[in-house]
Order: sequence, then structure tokens, then C-alpha cells
Amino acid sequence: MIDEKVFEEKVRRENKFKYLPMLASLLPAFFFIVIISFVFFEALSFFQQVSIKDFLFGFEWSALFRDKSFGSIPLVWSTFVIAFIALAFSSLLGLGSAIYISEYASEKSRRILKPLIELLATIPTVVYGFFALQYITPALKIFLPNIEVYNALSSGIAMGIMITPIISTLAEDALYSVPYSLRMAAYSLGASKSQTIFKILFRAALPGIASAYILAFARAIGETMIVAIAAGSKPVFTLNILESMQTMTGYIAQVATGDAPFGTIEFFSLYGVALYLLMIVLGVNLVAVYISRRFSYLVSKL
Amino acid sequence: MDKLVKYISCGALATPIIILGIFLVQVFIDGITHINLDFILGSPSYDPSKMGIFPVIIGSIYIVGISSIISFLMGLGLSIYLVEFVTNERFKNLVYFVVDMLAGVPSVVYGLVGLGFIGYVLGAGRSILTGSITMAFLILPLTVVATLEAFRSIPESLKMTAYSLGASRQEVVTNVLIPLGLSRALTGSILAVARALGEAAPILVISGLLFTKKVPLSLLDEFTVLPLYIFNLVTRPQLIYKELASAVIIVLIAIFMLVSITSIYFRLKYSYRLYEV
Repeated sequence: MIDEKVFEEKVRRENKFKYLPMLASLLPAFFFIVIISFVFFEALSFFQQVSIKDFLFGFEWSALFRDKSFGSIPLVWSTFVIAFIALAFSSLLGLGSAIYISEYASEKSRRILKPLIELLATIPTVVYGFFALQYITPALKIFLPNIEVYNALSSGIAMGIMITPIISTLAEDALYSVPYSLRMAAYSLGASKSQTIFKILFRAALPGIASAYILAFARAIGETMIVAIAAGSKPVFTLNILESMQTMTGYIAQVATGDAPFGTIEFFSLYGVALYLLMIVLGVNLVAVYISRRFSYLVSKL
Repeated sequence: MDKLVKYISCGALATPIIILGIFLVQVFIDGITHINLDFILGSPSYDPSKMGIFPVIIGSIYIVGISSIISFLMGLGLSIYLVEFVTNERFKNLVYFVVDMLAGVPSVVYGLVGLGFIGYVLGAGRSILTGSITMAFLILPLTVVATLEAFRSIPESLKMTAYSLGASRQEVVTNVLIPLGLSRALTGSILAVARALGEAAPILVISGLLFTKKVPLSLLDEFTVLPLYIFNLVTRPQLIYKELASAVIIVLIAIFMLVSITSIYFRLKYSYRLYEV
């Protein structure tokens, strides 16, 4: 016989116990809403003083001069230029190492290499910035004598080394999870290993690889310390990657170190730039999520 | 052709590792001469030859310690709820989606929200409290990945055995899930701890470029952390600061290795449990 009272007590405790972990699972959503709405409302007070049209389409950013102008195109341009340099540098390295770990390394060395790559991803970005300024720029100066001390190229390369582990980890996951039967089918048709990799595995893993690139790109756009150290603080619209450039995050870092007083337009401009940055990065992330979800459905049908 | 692909891909794997290896060796050569007890236990000074980093180390320990604990508890609660209480797949996917989006927010934006919302609106100021709460949310996605993986890996049969013996959900959570999953969750969270240790951008926004000799004690004190201090040193042109920055990088890496080795030790010590049961 079950004692009614004990049973009821248990049920009551059970129901009460549920709420604590439930709260924890709602916190991320709560904080996400706080982030978006806080940045949005602070940015509103910026856009009351600066028209959105000037902000989005203006070619001159001189927020810290007396004659202020808030045209964000130079910042956005520099952000994308540096992120593209990073992606160009890391695309082949990341994919190549993913191929090696997934297809060529033995199971034993895979178990060593994978954590090693993940370990590379934990190197603080400020250290990458240090590398860019102290080692990469001097090395580039040997080949490109007219490179500036602060320049877009070296921070792009440092960022490329930084996002290589991200690309290789995610792409390796995608390659490794391609069903074994597909490989065997290719071999049984007489395909060589490289043919299998390029003609079968790549197509099957394409959504995963694509979303790896996109996520790494988003990381590069949002990265702050490397550009704050090595890209300089000249918000100009230029095609020359050997010159100093200032990205959106670089501007935020510069104003933050300069101690912009609360309530000034410089302070609110931080949130204007942050809102723009947030929208770009979250948009790029959404594309990555969409691709990997939408197309992984197709892969499972193979 | 096959061999070629193999060598090229092996080269792609080796290139970043070799480049980083060369850089780290160079950092070690530059910085090791500056590392001594006076450097570790001294306080920052405008005279570079008397530079110490004790208050900075304490700041880092505060931030990493508090933020890891807060975020680990949140991650623990979240994954227990999702693994053991929720049956609705759509709700689960929604939570994963939000965590993914949270992981995508640039760290400097976390700093701006931390400073503006926790610092100014809630009134915590540019303090350790503001910094560690902000950092806790920043590393939450990494913690969630670790804790979820730990609790998912617990065999269904063990939970079912407990239920069949009349255990309530609460008893299953406290007597089965947590004891079995904890060590794995903790070692998995090491990536989150590393992130908290190395992240400079949000702290840059929250604490500014602080140069202080004062050791932070209370949670409302101002502070600075090791990565931010590296930034501070790197931005100065003289050669001596480059060497000092290298020295701080060595200290940072040493602390990180200490944390990892401890976690590996605990993993080896406690991981037998799952096989024993």
C-alpha cells in the first residue's frame, strides 16, 4: 500500500523542484532579449541626433573630431575587408586540415589532433593581436616595404589564423558525419580516395562546410582585440589593405579606452555602431543556421 | 594524386600549428627573462623595469572564478531541465537556437550591454561584479555545450533503474545525474574557463584602460585583467613593453595550463565512476 500522505508530499516536492532548472533554461532567452532591447533603446537616443540615412550611407566618419560626422560606410567597409582577408587566408588551411583529420589521420591521431586544434582556438585574441603587430607586420615589411605599422593585412592574417581552428573543427564534424556507406559505395565503383573526397564527401558535407565558413566569417566580423591592436584607428574608406583601417569593433574599443562620458553623443554612437554590428552578425549567423538545417535535410535523403 | 591530396591537407594542418609554435617560442624567449617573483607579486609601475602584475592576476582570478561558477550553475540547471524534464522537442530546439544566437553576439557587445545595463542602469559601476556577470553570460553557450553533453551521455538504463526503485525525479537528478555527469561537465567546461581567462574586449569596455596599484578586494572594486593588461602594454611603442607583454602572455598561458592540468587530473581521478556502475 502506498501511503497517501507520503505520496502527496512527494508529488508536491517534485513539482516545486522543477522550477529552479526551468528558470535556468529561460535565462538565455531573457538575456538575449535584454541585449537586443538594451542596445536598441540606447541606439534610439543616438538616432534622435543623427539621421539613420546619414549613418547608413555617409562616407565620412569623424565622431571624435570637433566637426562630427557619422557616416558608417568606412567602418563597415573596413570590417568586411579585414574579415574577407581572414576568410581568404583560412579557407584552404581550415578545409585542408579538416580533410586530413577526417580522412587521412588514423583514429588514434585523430583523437590527439582534434583537441589540439580546439586548443588553438582557446588562444586569447589579444595574443593574436600581439602577434599581428609584433611579428606579422615586420615579416610582411620584408616583402612589402611600404606597409604601415598599423595595417589591415596583418590583422586580417592574424584573424585568419584565429578562425582556422573554427573552420577546421566544424568542417571536420561535417565530413566525418557523412555516412560510411557513401564512402564504401564510391570505392566499390572504383573511385580513388581523392575522387571520393572531392566528388562525394564534399557534396554531402557541403551545408556543414558552408555554415562553418559563415560562422567563422561572423566571428571575424565581431572580433575586437586584433583590430584594436593591429589595424589602427583611422576611419577612412580605402582600398589599400597596407594602410591603417578602423573597423566597427575597433571604433568601439577606441572610444571605450578613451573613456567617453555617459550621455555624450560619442557614448551613444557606441550603441549605434553596436546595433548595426549586432544586426550584421546575427544576420550572418541566421544564414548559417538556415543553411545547415535546410540542407542537412537533403543530405539525409542521399 | 591521392598522395598529393594527402600531403597538401597535411600541410594545411601543419601550417597554422607551425606558425603559432614559432610565435609562442619567440614570446617565450622575449618574456622569460622578465619573469621573477617581483614581477608576479609586485604592483604596476610607471617605471617599466619595476613592473609587477599582482593586482592584475587577482582581477583575473576574480573574474574567471566568479563567472565560471555562475555560468556553470546556469548551464547545469539548463541541461538538467532539458535532458530530464522537457519532452517537447520544439521547446528544446528553441532553447538551443537562442543559445546559438547568444554565442553569435560579438563579445564587445556583451561589454557594452554589461556596462550600460548592469553598470549604469542597475548601478554596479565599472566593478568586478559587472565584469563577472557579463562574462558569465558570454561563456554560457560554451558551458551549456559541455554540461549538455555530459548529461546526455549518462545511460538511460541507469536512470530507469533508479525510477524503477521508486526514486522521484528530484532523487534521480541529485543521486544519479549530478554525481555521474559532474566530472565530465566540469572538464568540458574548461573551454569556457579558457574563454573567460582570455577574453579582453568586454572587460576593455567595462573597466576601461585602468592602471592601478590597488589590489581589488570587494566585488565593487575597480579591476583589470591579464589580457587587458597585455593590450595596455602592446599599445606602447618602446621595446621594453613588448618584452613585458610577452612576459604577461607567458603568465596567462601558465595559468591556463595549470587550470587544464587540474581538470585533466580530476577527469582521470573520477572518470572511473561511470565504468564502475
